[in-house]
Amino acid sequence: MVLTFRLLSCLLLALSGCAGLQVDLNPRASAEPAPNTPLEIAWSYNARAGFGPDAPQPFDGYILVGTRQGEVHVIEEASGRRVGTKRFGDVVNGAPVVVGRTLVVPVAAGRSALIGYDLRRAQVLWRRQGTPIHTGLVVADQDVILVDLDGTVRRVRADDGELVWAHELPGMPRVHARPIVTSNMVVIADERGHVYSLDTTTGQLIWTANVPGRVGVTPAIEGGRLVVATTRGRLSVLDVDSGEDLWHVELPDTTVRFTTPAIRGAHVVAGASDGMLRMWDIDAGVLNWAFDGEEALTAAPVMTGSHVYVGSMGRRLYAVRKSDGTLVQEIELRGRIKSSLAVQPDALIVLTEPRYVVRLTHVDDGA
Amino acid sequence: MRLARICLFCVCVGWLGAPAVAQYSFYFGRNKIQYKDFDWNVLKTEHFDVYFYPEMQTLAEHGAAFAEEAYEELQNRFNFSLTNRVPIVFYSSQLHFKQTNITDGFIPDGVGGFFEFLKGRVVIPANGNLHRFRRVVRHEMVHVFTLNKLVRVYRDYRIPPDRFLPLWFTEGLAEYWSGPMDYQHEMIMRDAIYANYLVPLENIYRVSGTYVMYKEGEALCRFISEQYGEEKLLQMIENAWIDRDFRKVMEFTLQEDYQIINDRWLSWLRTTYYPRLDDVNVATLDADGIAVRGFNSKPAYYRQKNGQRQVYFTGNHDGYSNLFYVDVDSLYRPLGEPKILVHGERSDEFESFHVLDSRMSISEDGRIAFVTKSGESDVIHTYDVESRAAGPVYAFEDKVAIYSPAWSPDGEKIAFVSIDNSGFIDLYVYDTSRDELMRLTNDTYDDRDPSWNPSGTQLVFSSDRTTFGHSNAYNLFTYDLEHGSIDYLTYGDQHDFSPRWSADGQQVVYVSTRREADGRYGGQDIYVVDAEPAVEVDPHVALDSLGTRPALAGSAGLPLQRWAHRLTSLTTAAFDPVWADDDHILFASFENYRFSIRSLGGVDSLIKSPRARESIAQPLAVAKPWEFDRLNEPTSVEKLQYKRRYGLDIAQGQISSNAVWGTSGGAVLAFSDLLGNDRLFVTLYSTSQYTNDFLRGLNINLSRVHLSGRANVGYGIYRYGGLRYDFTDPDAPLEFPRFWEEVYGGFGAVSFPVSMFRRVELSTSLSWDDKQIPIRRIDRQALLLSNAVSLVHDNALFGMNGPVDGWRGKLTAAYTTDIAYSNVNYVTLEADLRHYLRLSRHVTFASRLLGRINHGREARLWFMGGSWDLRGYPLFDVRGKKAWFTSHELRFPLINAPSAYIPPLAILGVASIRGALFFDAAHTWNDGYHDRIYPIFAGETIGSTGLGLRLNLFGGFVLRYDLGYRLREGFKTRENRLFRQFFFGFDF
Repeated sequence: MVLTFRLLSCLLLALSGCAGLQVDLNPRASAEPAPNTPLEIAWSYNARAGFGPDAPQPFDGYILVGTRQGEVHVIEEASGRRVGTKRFGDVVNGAPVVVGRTLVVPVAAGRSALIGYDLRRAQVLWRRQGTPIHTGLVVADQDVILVDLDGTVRRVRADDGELVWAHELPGMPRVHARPIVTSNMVVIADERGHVYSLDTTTGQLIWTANVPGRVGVTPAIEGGRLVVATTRGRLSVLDVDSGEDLWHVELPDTTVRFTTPAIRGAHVVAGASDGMLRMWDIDAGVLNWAFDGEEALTAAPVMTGSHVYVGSMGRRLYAVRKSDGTLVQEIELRGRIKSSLAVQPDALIVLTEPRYVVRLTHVDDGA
Repeated sequence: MRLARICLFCVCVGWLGAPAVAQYSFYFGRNKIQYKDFDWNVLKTEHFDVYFYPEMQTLAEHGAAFAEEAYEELQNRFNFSLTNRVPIVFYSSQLHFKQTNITDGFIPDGVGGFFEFLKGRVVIPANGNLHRFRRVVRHEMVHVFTLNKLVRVYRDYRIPPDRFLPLWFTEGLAEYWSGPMDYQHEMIMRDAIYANYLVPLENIYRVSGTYVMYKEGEALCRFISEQYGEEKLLQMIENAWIDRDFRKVMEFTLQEDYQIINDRWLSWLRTTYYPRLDDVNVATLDADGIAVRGFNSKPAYYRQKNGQRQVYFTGNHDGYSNLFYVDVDSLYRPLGEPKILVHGERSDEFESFHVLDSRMSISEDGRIAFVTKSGESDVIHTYDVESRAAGPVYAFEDKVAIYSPAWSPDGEKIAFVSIDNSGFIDLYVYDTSRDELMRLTNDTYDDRDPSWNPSGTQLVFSSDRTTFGHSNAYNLFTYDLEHGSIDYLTYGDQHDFSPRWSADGQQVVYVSTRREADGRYGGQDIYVVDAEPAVEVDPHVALDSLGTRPALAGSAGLPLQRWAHRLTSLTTAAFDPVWADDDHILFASFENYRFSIRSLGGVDSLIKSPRARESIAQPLAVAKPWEFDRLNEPTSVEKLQYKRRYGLDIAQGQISSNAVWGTSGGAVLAFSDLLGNDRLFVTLYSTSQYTNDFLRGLNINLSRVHLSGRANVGYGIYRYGGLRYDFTDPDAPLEFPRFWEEVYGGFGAVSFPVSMFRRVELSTSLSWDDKQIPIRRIDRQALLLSNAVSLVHDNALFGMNGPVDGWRGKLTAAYTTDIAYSNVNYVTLEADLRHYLRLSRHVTFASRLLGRINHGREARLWFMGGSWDLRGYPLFDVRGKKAWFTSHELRFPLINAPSAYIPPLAILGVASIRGALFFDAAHTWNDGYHDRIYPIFAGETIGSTGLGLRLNLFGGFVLRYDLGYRLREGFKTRENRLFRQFFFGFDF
């Protein structure tokens, strides 16, 4: 009888799509990300729906992915096995984050806008109602910072969902870009091309700047440089402390859209809808090289010490030599790559159409 | 042959062993004829498979380049790439395009191309204009990207792909992203605003599918782009998951209330267009009307030998396009209503007029030359308007489309332009006395509307061969017939069309439109340009493929100069001006969404004091000819022969259960090749009621239909087995005709279109038939051979609820015999004639006569009743082996455009409310004409009379409600009970 009950429970659980989400958290030290070529597919995971533009979130040996069907999946990174899945709303578009043992999920359509979930106990800790959140979250200490559909930036405690501060951007602008944080400031770029720098502690405005064109992707920040890509063939590099325009790129074709840029050291790299991956010197603004990916590039590239990885709308993942932009490896995946890549010490995590999470690892080719 | 094909399919999947079974299959319809069996090739480019035939390879290479160019741009605009290769099918002319099997429907003249989303096929014809071809390619590519992006959005969000974006948005976006706004867009928008018929956003569904909707949609997309940001257009597609209601998607994306968006749009339009009203006039104020009812275009003028002035034009006043004429007085006032000279669209000879593209010409001795489609290509008809007699008809080998014939002054030659199989349009002169055709141009430029000078030595025509042609400009050119040289007459970045030389040879009248300071096109006005330059110098040679000669300057070294005089300042547009006597010019005007024929008087004074005068500087140097890119074999494409590969068109399953049949279920599958020329149908279903009865009750039909040739051929095999419920079987019990039957065999069918309006249908079948009717102790086997031949005619014109004009008929003879045992042996004769007499524009008297005979051993029964024929009697209740039936119906309007009076009806899609008075009569019998057979009304003349209501929903579904009295005993008695009958379907 007991056996029958257990079997029945397992069956129900299986039929419900393993709706529980309980994770054994073992924090690990992060290593310098540097997967090397050649890469090959280690595993592929069916997440049952498409993904937003943000990268999957690796944490403690797991991969965290939100889907446009409102689910969050936790996948064991080594094996690609499903650890758990939970539905948090109708749509999860921006990347959820893990703060301590709390999973914080931004919900783009559903009854709640933000949900805190205890991964260890597998229970909802708190919910915040309000305007839906279409963009990803960013972690600041033990809190998360988010921007909702009405252009209000909030800092919320991950433990209990309490509001720390809120800052309404003027004109209730639509924001498609995830906020980004540096040591003491959070930067938000709205779709009109207005860039705001707020104090992470108080939410007070530090500076504002305007970039020509519309911002539809998340900017990048590193080493005192803020790189904002716009939809009209323009990429602006601003000084993080003042918002001053240091240099910018204007393509002759104003229909081109740049991807979220990636910065590493003295270089910034960005893909574009014209299929080109371009690298500039971040100080001088000089174009170092350009690589033709043929089909549109809409997902943010990632840069390691020696390579730039970028996924295309033509289902291809390219590994390009960072020094000169030559193609090192090209892998065809199941579908278009529209989400940012996540890079791990020994692997690359890619989200592809129609609904797959793919892990690529280095394979020894005997060379 | 849209409907004819449905008929052929019905024949193929139906059971041919019993012609009577198919008595309700729809057998009328005009023919879509495949005159040419194209030799298809494929160009494989980076993203596309381009289908073309060898004669048009150059055009296909241009088209391939246009498609790749569009792909590159749209990849940026949509931030998206296609992961599948897109098939693009090109035709070199509209007339070839009309033969496509990719869609079964008839393709009207104005359709520039289409995107069929079931298999993702893009189908585009050329029309001689590379700019337009390029624009249509881009337009259809926007559709391809929109659909693929939308499907991707729905799949990402796991939403069933059953939500469509509104047509105004998809078509508006396609127009907006296919190129800069053109002069036609501006003409429609200005007219809509000035004439106050602009449809607000919340009501735009009312004009769905119309040209106005296309242009309003384009204006809306432009407004959203300018006021909210270009990115919002893409976001609206990306946000389509938000709600099924696109208004909410718009509100979400644009962050404004729908009504506010609408108000802002209207305000934006007024701000854009109202200031232009300062210095313009509507055509109705500037010129007097000659033909203003219905659609009228392409005027021509002739003064008869008796002095009577006459204006000829093509028009459409009641659904058919015709050639009209109207007598006018010396002030060009019409002396009565226009009369029809040539009836169009009803006969093989005059299948259709190119009412927007082809002018007509009248020679000095009164012979009119005009073009109609006749069979597989256009022909030039001549007609003597003095003697009212048709003259010779001129057709030319390989000349597919012909436009704008123009008589030479001596009446011996006809100049015209024509598109050949290559898809490019060129200028020709045909000498009627010598039967010689001379080709004047041979290049990729678009030459239009030639007109002779009075001495017959030069032609003037409009062409995009100008140095401004790369921006789609047209200038006027002269062709010197002696030297073969082409010279500029006008010159500039503008659109100069429809030139006509004056009788004295001094001037040329034409229409022109040009961009204003803000980049928008102004009105299309009437101009007169001096034929000779202002200073005496040689003219300058324009671009042409015949070779160029150096341009010369004037004697003072200055550029040549002519004067052009603008005679009108119209809000919208004038077309096709033509010189008339008495200081008048005739032209077609567009105003209030209507084309009218008008006269402009006082031309001499207008030329002396024009609205504006401009000098036309002649180019001193010949610039390099412009040309578009091509993708050709040695570089970036691979050329292959077309091979048929079949793809799934329809997959449909069904299961049903009822008291008579028990439980049955099955599936229908349809496959076709990419060009739609070869179709396979598989029908599989079972009527078995027990598991071990499965094979006994299995029904299967495999059929194939070839549509690539002129004759459509179908054949197949079938097996039918199981219980049948068949009122037409003569052996079955009359009240409950249920019996078991097994039939298997094969069939063939051919449908040969004689013309667009007539066809011959042949069918044959050979089948083994085993019929068992235990209750009557019948167990009959037969090897049935059935042959049938039919003649079908249909030139009926459809209104909202059914035919309103013309006639249709079908004659059938068939013979069915048992070649093994002689158990079955009967002939079938059938005649069905329907005539529609149009009493006035909206009132039609429809008559139908039907006679049917099945005679011989085991001859089947015909049946009547229900809403399709004999009203007031239940379906199947009136039966007999022989029958006659007649029906007469007066169809009249009750409320035209009812939603104008009761707006909520628009939401329900009520497009018209009409009434009908009807009288039906029938008689069926088996052996003796008066032998009564209970309960099937045989042997009695019966009928019904009453009135009905017709409601058209959404333009396609017709609701019919009839009430009346039944007439019995040869109309001697009338039943007191009023019958009511409700049904869906078009009037007969």
